[in-house]
Amino acid sequence: MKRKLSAEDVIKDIEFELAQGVPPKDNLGESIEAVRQFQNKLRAELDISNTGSPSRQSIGRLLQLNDMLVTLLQETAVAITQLQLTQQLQIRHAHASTRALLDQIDTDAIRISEHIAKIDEVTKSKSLFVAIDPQRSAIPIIGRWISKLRQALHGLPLYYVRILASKQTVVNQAFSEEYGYTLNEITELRQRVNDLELRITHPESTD
Amino acid sequence: MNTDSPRFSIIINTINRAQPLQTLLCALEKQSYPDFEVVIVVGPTKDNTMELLDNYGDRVKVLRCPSANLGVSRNIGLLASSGDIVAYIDDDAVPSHRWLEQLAGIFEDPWIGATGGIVYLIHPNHPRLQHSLGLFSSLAEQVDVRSSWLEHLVPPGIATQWVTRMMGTNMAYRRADLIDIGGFDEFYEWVYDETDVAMRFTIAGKILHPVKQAPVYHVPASSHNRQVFTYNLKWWLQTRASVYSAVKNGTASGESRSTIIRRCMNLIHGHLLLSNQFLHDNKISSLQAWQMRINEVTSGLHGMVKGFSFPRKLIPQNGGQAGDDTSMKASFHQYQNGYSAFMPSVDPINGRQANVRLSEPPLRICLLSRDFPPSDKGGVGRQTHMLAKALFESGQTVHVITKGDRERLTFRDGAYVHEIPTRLEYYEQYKHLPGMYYLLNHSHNVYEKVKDLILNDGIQIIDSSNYQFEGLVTSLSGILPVVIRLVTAMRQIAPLNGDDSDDKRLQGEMERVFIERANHLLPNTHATLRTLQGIYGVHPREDQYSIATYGIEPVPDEKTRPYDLQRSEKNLKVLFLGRLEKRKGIIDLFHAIPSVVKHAPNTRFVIAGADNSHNDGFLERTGMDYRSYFERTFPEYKSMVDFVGEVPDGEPQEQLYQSCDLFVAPSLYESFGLIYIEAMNYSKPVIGCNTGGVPEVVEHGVTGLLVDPQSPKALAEAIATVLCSPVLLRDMGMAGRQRLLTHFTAAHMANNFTRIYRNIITRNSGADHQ
Repeated sequence: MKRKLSAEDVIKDIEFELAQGVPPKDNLGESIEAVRQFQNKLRAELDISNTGSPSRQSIGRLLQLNDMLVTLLQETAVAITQLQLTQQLQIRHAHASTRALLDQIDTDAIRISEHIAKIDEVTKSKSLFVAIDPQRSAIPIIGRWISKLRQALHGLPLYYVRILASKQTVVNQAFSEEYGYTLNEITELRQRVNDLELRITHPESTD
Repeated sequence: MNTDSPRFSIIINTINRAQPLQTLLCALEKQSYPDFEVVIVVGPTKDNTMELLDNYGDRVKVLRCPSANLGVSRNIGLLASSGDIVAYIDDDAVPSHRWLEQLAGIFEDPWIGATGGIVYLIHPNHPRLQHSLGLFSSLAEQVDVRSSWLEHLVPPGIATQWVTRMMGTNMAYRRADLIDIGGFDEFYEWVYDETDVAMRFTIAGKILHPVKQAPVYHVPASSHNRQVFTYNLKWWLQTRASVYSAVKNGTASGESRSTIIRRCMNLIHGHLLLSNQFLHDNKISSLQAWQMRINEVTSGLHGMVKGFSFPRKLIPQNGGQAGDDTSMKASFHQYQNGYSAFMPSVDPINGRQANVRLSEPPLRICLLSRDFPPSDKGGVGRQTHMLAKALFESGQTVHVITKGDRERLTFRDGAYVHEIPTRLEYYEQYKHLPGMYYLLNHSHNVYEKVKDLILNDGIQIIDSSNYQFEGLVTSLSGILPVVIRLVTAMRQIAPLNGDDSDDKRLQGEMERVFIERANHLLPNTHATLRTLQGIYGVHPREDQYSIATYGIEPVPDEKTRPYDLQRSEKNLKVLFLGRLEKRKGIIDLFHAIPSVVKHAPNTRFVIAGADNSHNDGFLERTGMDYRSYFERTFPEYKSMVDFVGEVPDGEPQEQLYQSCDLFVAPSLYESFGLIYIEAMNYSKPVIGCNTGGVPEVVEHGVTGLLVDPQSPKALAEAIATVLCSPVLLRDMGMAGRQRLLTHFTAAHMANNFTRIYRNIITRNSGADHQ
């Protein structure tokens, strides 16, 4: 027969909620979704699929990069929440099964570090550099002038795109550094969880 | 820059609002952060503002502004200020207790140049959250309320540049930074001045960081620009300001000229549509509509011309140096003095303060009551309402947390009433027990609100009844001492209502845990304590409880109606006032009526109160409500009983009490019996049952008669005994009134509760320091 709930069960649940003390998580998810939708709208408006245009290529890369940053933000938030929950569960139950969750956090941390490495690579300004590559004209006599005109026409938007790209690179690097910092924080938190677990499961070893 | 403990200059711009200004000045006496001066800039006022300010002497800096122009007035205040931070607040608002303290905390970050908190509109008839984490665009689009930073992360609207902004009644700037950008643009006579500053502040590379704390409570007052809560205001000033803002900030942000002009046309067109709407809804006359349309177009064009062709009217660059003048710095006068801490709490709506002299600083108390008048009239709600009112009249600051359909705040009858919706976000595992699931979530939502109130208003103690364990989560969190007013236990009520479900069982369990873990218990009578001991086995030590009886405001002597021995009227009236339910003994009274009528045939019964047969299971069991039951069971007595239904508080109830000769309430259980002292207030004898706390309120044989519960025969005899003796009717009534005056007044209650709260707070803070 199923055991009836007691006041002590309810108290434990309240203490668990109090210990979590996290604000409702829905806002973050909704906002990330809003950013994604906004980005997709921009993509559609700019017709990124037309890869023949060098400026569009650059913008497309920037948008991709933003996607990755958003994903990373999401992953980091999930990892941190999971870590918080792990800590609370450990304090509450102090049993060995939390080891598995810690291993999961380890895996998450590795996944984030892989993301950061990738982002580091693409945030370097060279990845955003777009060369002028106008087609040469085969028309005799005036072909040379047509090519020069094409080159000039390509050069004008690229001038602004490169300014934009260099500024975006700075922003991206800052993002990248921040996530590196977050990763370290997670690692430290994980270490604290380990210590806590050790103190709970083997209290005599910490005396 | 002094980042450790910045000095604030609070700047108030005012015209013709002496009364709200006085309320604000009273409220500023109670700020928890003392290091501030008050700068008041008075426009071309016609009321007694200057006489009022004379009373403050050099405690405040008073300056005059020659025109009714908010931009000019704000700049005059800015230049005359000598604090590190200038904080603007409207003359028709009051700040929360820890307003400056919280703003100072934010300015500890040296990068932050400006901040401001949320704004609640607290008028009882129009309460709402007016501003929180607002946004503003370079094309004068705005968002007033966001629940978090993440809401509108991708801003709505057409402008490319969006900035966070504060509301003018709750904004603070580093003085030097504000002067650096030229202060306020003096083109803005009214509105958009604060948003324009936010835009320029951000474009200048300074950080503006509004927060969801440090609230200001806004009670909009009428002015030369508007009549509050009507449509009678200068809409065209808004149009002119918004168009000007779109032109100036749009241009500065790189918006194209065609986009700016299109936006300006939209703004003008929007207000033209508004005039049509007002006309359609008969809010303005046809003539007023045409005046409005003409004003909208001309003011819009005025704003565009000024925006495109004229420079901004800012503080000249050397203005800042003048403001930093050393003599000005030396004139910093701290506003608060030795008496400030002892001033009674102030009603933010009408400025009233309790007429008491305090020897200790007033307390900041938070009462919890899911039910609260006027929407709910349950016993706990009424007690909480009375307690709140009485505590305010004794000078204390009172906050009440109650349930509502959305978050809002009002000030009513001496208390800040915070309504919170019950969000079912926690404890999903209890969904199969709907009552528990709801109550646990409500208790958790209350805890979240309590945290806000600690932060914003510095509340010191929580008072909750045991009913539905509202303060349970707060109590378990340990953030503040929680005292419990003991009332009828859920475990007593459930069997009376025939409810033995697992849900109710667990609710009873939680009530026991709540009582066990309280910092202090406040039974309203000894009987309540004994009952709780019997039901829950809780045996508090003597220092863990205090008997705290309730009290009511005595009516003036001329409103009492003791029985007149000389009167010629032979008909007698017996009143029952309360919910029609089994617990209130209504069935017993029905069964007593025939016997009473036999002894006193000229008796009429008035049964007043809402029928609760659908909640107490009576309707389900019998298929009848209480009135139908009486009329079917005793058809021959139908004409002698008037069922008048629920009677509103105040005058209607007063008339009932005054017109009766005897009050009867044969409740099966009352932890205290407030209804008896309400009848005693009008010098009426009372009949009740010898149960619960009733004998401690009604003195048997002196102020009325008590009989055993569920004894219709004894009840009939008691009623008949008193009705048949005019001397008893008079003497018992007058003795009841005397007993009320000596034991059960609101002042007795407030003094007793305040003393107990103060002891617990002292004890608790002592424990914290150990």
